[in-house]
Amino acid sequence: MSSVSKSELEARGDGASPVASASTPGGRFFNSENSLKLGSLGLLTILAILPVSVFLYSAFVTHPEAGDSIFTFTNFTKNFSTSEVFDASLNTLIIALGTSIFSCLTGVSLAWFHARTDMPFRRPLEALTLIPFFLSSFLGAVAWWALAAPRTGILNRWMIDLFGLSAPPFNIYSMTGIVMVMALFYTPYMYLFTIGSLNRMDPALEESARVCGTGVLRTALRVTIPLSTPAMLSGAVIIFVVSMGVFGVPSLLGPIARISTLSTIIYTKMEEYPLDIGGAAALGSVLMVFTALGLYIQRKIIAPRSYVTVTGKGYRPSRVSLGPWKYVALAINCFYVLLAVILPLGALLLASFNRAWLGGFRWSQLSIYNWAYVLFEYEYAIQATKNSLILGLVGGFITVVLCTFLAMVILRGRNKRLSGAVDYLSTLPIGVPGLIMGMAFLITWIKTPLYGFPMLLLMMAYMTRYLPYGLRTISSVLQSLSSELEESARICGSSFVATIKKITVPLLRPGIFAAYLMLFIMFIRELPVSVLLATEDSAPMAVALYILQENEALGVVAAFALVQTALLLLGTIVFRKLGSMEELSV
Amino acid sequence: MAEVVVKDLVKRFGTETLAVDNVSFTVGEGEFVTLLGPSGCGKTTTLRCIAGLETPDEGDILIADEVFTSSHNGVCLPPEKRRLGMVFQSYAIWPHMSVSENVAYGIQAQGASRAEVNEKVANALELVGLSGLGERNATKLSGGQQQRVSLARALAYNPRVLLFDEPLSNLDAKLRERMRVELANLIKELKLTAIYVTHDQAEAMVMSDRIIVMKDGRIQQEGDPHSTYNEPSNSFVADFIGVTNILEGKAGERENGKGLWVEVPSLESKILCAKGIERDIPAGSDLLVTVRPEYIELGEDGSSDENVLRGQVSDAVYLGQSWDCLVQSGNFELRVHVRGDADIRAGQSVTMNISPSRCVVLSD
Repeated sequence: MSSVSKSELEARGDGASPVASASTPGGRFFNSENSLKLGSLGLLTILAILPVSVFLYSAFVTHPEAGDSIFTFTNFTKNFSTSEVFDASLNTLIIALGTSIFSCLTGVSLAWFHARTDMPFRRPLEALTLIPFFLSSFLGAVAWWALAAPRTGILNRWMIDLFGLSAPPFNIYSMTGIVMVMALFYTPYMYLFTIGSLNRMDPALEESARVCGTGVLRTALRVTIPLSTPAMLSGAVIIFVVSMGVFGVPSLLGPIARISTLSTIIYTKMEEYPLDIGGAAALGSVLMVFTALGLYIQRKIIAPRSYVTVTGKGYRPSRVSLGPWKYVALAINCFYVLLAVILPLGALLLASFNRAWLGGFRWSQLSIYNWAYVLFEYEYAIQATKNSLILGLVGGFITVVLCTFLAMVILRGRNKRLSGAVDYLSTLPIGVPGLIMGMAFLITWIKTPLYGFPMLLLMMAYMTRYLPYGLRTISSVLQSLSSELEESARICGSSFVATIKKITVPLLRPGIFAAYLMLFIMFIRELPVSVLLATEDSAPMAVALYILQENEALGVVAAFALVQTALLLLGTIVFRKLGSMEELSV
Repeated sequence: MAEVVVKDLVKRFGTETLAVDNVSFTVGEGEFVTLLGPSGCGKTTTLRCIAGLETPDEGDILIADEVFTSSHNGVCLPPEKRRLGMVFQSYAIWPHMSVSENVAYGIQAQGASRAEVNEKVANALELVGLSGLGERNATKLSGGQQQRVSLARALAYNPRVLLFDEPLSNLDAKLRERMRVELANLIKELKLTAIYVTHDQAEAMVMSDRIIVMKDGRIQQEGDPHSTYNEPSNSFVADFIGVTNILEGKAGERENGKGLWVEVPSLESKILCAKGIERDIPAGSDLLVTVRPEYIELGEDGSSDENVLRGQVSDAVYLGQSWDCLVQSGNFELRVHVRGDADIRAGQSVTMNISPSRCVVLSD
């Protein structure tokens, strides 16, 4: 039965969601629909196209900061001929490749354990495994710095004391350290990329392989994993691209080992004398081209090949019995949680309660001084906390409203060509790494009055950078809402606007909450966009953490990092509660 | 007064797909008309044009002389101005509202008073047999009950015409059969005008006053269930509705008052056809004849003068109430349905009689 309705939908073609469509051809509503779409295009042009264009333009002129406009390639030739940039490019590639390979290995195994096997304690472990997703790799780097810095690291101290070693065994200031921290914190992304396709997979696909006589492991390797390959590849490519542009981890852990990446060089060129905007823009544009290329490959080549394994039937939960191996799976999962959650948060917690940190926790030094200091005394930290809360709550709200509006403009209404253009423009920021988005906003607006309102500028930059994520969350809910729900309201006699108010928005509420939560989290932990754009007064928490880490004792840094962590976890819990209260069985 | 007129309706999707190709029909007041056809035949698009959910490229739609859509002067009323009721295949029950709120929505949209709303909601729920369930969460109901809510919602504000888009196809078979009868009776009782879209021929037969069979965006045949079944106009209709035998033949001579003789080479025989011969059929022209399996009777030799065929049962499947047989006659395997109490074996030689009034010459 359902196949019939589906093919009819196809036969109906592009007219399948004409909630906004019924009116006089060429009449009044037709125009107002188009003007909404054109307005969205204009807004997106100002938010996204303008800064990125100015940024690209800067890469091709001699002295953009002086207003020079002589076309040149020197920014590229001068920079890419140095061994410094060559090494940095190589490092960027190694970090990106290492991160995506290792997070893919752990993420996929953990997802398989949780979705498909009888590993014990799956429920609590799932929550624990996902915690790093709500933190950030930069926070992870700060924590691992406390754990494994050669002289002061807690782990190193323990090992030396315990085994009487002569030299510290771990050194976080290394390529291995950088890749490990990145991989630990990108594992949940990989996990989330694959768990969906593993959960939706029809167990009959695996059962038939088992009936054919293949064992557990062979079935997993020959059937389950290949079926999720497109989802995995998509995840790996996205993580590769994202880690190419990551700034926080290498800028914290790299300098001592003289490891620089493209993003740290761009930052240096923008922040230190002599200023080299042209050079930074040239490096940035290369980074942006690679990012865009990677995402293009993911979207056009990998994603369309995903196997449709959803058959619409109710699945019986069928799990692979691992036998004694389930304890191995459990051990692997616990080890991950230890490295990504317990050790980092534990180290921060210990350090935050000792006023003077000498590489180990001492009861005699127990003190809440650091907490009191960052919460009540330290103006800069307090201001940063306020800034982040404003950005997360207000900025998140404005962004979610914009996302909802854009999702409706894209998915409903009948001018598909304009919808496509809006969709395209609002997806573009995904190809722009955060540091470059911040830089683009800075050089575009620095000489305008808008620069006098740094919080507003930050909000605009966040909104632009994270728009695609919020939009995707809301769109997917809107897509799952049959347009018949809106059509039946129209037939019952309610107008286009009344239908949106009474039917569409209430039904979208879970999606809107989910998007708000995600944006709140992203905004609270945001570093790369802000690091160039924020002023001292407008610095958000991640930037403050970056500055603190350079200037303050570990205890203060740890307490502040935990304040940020608490906000992130609290935000998650509050929104989850609100979200579940509103839960609808759509 | 609810006479629906659809005239020369054309709807294209993109530049190439012609979803509805020059469709015209009318629906009288209180009539139950079904648009029947396979998926992609344009029946749903036609219905959505009437509802105002699609804007047709050409043609007019009028209800009770009010112009809903006209390509001549660019009129196209939005759906909320048409005062129609529609029941969707997916039920389209709003999950954030209770049963009553769902049903009340359309009445409230008309600006009715609170008391009036309550009364009409109660009436509508009673009509569909859901009295007392008003406060329930609509999506917690069973599929059949949800479809009743959807029907109550469409009935509640006295729409001029009720539109149904495959409303029963998400229900299980038993429930579907019961709902068919119940729904048809309710519509008749309330003297409502209804346009019903389905791909299920049995549903169309049971419920409709008139069936419009569509294929590739065009109307193939229009008529009451009896004539649509017994006198299909072409091989598509004959095959789509029920099971049938289609024979290739050549027109022979007419026998006054009795019918047209058709030479059927595959049967190595001539058969006399009394239906579908009103048009001019030149002798010797190629044509198709259809005979329903249940109209082929097994009998004794010499029990009839015309249309006597001999053959051998090649396969017989027992279905309880009947035998579904294949009978080899000449080079053709005829499908024959025989009553369940008959004694049939594969390999048996049989003689078959077909009444000429059951032999229909098709137009293609």
